[in-house]
Amino acid sequence: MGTQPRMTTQTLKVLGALMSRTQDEISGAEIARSTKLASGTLYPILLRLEEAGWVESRWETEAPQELGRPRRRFYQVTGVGLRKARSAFRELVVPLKEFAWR
Amino acid sequence: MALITGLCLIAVSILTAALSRLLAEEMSAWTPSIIRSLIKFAVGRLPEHHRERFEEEWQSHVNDVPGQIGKLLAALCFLFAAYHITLNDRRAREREVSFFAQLDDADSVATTLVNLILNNEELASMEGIDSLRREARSALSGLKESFDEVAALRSELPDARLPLIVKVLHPVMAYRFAASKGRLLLNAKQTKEMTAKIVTLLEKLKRLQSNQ
Repeated sequence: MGTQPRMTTQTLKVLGALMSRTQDEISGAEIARSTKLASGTLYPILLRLEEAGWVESRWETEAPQELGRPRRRFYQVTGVGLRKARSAFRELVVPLKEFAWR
Repeated sequence: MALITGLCLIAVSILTAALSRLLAEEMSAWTPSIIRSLIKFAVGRLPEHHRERFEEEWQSHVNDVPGQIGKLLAALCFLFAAYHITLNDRRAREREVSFFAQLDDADSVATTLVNLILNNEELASMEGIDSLRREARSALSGLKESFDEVAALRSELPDARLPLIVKVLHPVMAYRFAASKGRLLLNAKQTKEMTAKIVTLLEKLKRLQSNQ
């Protein structure tokens, strides 16, 4: 497990996309589509989250020969990731609410 | 004159249409190989332990993007991804090196301090110094043992992570690698704790000196 990932807007977007589908796994291309992040930004974030233990990933189970295309890699948020992401979102929401009341 | 100009314009527009169609066909024929080359180039810039994974993953990502231009843009973006992943990896390695350098420093400082407690003749007459010296001696031997184990484990482990193919083909080796890495971290933690213990001993010595 590595160091804590930096909480940038892009990281929050990725976490949001993963948290919206906690039950099933989601591929990098799908995350890119739903977050509208470029692949150049997305993959370093996914790797950082994975190294921190917030996200886990696995290959598609079928062989590429059976699929007739390269295998997809699926991502899913872990229990730790879910807790940390929720607290990060909470930390973000409180100042935003305070700002809105001013 | 006007007729000639009109005919020329018609000829030019027919030629342009034919050429642009030819160009589009050429582009769509070349794009897959350009994309493959871009991915290969980006993957080549990655740290070795990430290459296999991202080569397949990025190929599948591009497959899922609609349109040739979209695919080409996604492949271009992988160059940025490779740059950032490499940069992050280098930073993480530097952090690790600096952690072990700190551990080295802590070991030498702790040894000097304990030797000071053990060999300083002025302290000999101090009340409670015998038990403090015993504690210092045992803390130092614990620290040495722990530090030697850290050094041995560090020399056993390769710098980079095991590539996925090794993990799959040699699960026993992968297990040993993970176990060694786990022990290394545990020992590094123990070494830090031993150093902290020595710092506590020094604080005790200070208290003893101020009570005298």
